[in-house]
Amino acid sequence: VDDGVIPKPRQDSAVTRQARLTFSGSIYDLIVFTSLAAVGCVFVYGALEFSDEDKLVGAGTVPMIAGGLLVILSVWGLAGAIVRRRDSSEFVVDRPFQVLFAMVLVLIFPPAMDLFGYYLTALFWVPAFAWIAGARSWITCLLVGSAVLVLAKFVFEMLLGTPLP
Amino acid sequence: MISSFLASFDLVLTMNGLLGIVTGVVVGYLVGAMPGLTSSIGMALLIPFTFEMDAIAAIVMLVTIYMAADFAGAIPAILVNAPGQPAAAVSAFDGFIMTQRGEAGKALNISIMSSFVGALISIVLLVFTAQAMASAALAFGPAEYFALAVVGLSLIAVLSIGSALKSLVALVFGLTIVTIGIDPISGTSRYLISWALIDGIPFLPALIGLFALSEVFLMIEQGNQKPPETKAMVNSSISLRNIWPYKRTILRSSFLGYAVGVIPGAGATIASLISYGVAKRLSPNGDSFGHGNPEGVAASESANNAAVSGALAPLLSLGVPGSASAAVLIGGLTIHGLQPGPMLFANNPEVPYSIFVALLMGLPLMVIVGIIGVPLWVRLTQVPRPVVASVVISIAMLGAYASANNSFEMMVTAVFGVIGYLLRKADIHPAPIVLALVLGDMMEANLRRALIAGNESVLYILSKPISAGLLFVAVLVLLSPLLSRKRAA
Repeated sequence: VDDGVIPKPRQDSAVTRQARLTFSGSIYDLIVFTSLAAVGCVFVYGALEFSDEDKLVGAGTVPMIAGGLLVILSVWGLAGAIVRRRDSSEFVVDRPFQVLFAMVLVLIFPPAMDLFGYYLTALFWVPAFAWIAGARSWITCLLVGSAVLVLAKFVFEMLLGTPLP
Repeated sequence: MISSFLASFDLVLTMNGLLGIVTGVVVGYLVGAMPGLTSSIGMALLIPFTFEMDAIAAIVMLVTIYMAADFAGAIPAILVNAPGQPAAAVSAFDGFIMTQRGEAGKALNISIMSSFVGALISIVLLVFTAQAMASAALAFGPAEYFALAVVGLSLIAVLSIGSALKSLVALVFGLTIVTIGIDPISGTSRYLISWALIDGIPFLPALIGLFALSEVFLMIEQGNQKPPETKAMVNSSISLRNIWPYKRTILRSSFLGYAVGVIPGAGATIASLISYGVAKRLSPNGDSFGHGNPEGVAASESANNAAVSGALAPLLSLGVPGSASAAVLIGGLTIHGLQPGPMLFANNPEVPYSIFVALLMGLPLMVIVGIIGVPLWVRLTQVPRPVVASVVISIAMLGAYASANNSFEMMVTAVFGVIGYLLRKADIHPAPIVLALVLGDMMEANLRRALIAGNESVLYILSKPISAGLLFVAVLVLLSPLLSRKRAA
């Protein structure tokens, strides 16, 4: 697309003041590839436990090959990230605290639902999520929350027969 | 074939079948027109709603969502330069400039009618090729299926958009985690951190997390940022007159789109890009591509809609998904006890033929809904992101729970959502992971079965002409980036 034809999104003043996490893209690549290499190592190590020596391909063969490949490719990516560390693009996370809170909210939802039941949890959870997602009107949060509760009751429980706790 | 085809009309022309088509078209347009939501997200979110549905109506609905989303993706791309689907980004190259010139109606007309022609041609191709492919695949044994899965995986690795290394990493990550659970051949438990994982990572919650939740986290980054506004007053009408000058381009792009769609991992975006590139090279007005040439819109739209049926051909006939959305469709089929592959045509011929019929019947509806609903589809791009994010995440979590009536599935969705987001921030797209989850299972199980049949000898696989040929193709595919680099040098 030619320069100048993409309309710039309008931004509220509140948005422009939002926090932004910025660092070198190669550092993020380093973190991701190191984590993936670690996952690969765990799978290779685990595969050694259930390798079957009488068979050419046993229960451990595919996890070992896949895990090994994951380690090799991640190390390759890691090396690339180190080589390109000076001219890599910037890694940007807008509203990092909100993203982090959203992740925490999503991860605590299943145990909270087991403890307090779906409706009670969703009653607080959905408006809270809408707020974190950027909704700044309590009416919007309330409407979204109500819509989700109605959807859960009438569509999931009554129409689809899903027993919600 | 003709009798099965005609019999399927009776199945689709029921209240449930028609409701499935209408719901699929409307939901497809809703997710397709809304930037950020893709057909795979829409399908993944809707699968839990199909649990209690009749299998035919459910599959018909999911397939029409897939096609309608591709139809709709071009509308916001043309009007507000915000592609509803990744493939529609190519249509925005010329379509949005036409809108700026005051030709929004013409651009939309060309987009919708080219999509219609591309989809129609590809459905006809699908009807004839899928059955033929399935008949040929009936001769396949474990060795051939193993080789086929290897070809599929190598194509995904090479053809995925973006960095080849990152696509490979995603693919291998998918292949690694698919080994979690009880080994299907020996019964050995592998990496069981929880007994709930005894059957492996639950596919549907994982893909809801990877596609829908990761997108929600990306939306949260945008906060209450307002989407671009459109001032375009659109007068659009259905007419073939506008696309007649580009008939050759549309025909060529439709065939090209279908062929690219058949290739696992290629998908609508690559089909669109290739067709646009070919049209630009062959057109006498090639220089005006990117400056509001309607032929560019026609090429891109006919190709990306043809790719949808293309992606369904290997899925229905071989059990190999041609795209991420086709992989999601596997989730929908298996929930209803249907296994895609050659036996689907033998044991449940009503399913593939109902899909063909539904696609054909849904096409005119997609055109009408597309044209009539333009103001609504444009308005959809203006829905505040926080509202979309909250609704999508709530449906995603409910859907994950409904897949097994267990909060563990929700946790899987949540964890994969976080993983998907973190990987996407590193430009590692989750589509190869989902495709690897499908093909990895198929590859390992068939490799081990083939080796049991061949007394633990790899030569057994290599001695079979089809599997040897397919493995040779896989090697060529994997070496192709190196070969093309050498030739370029």
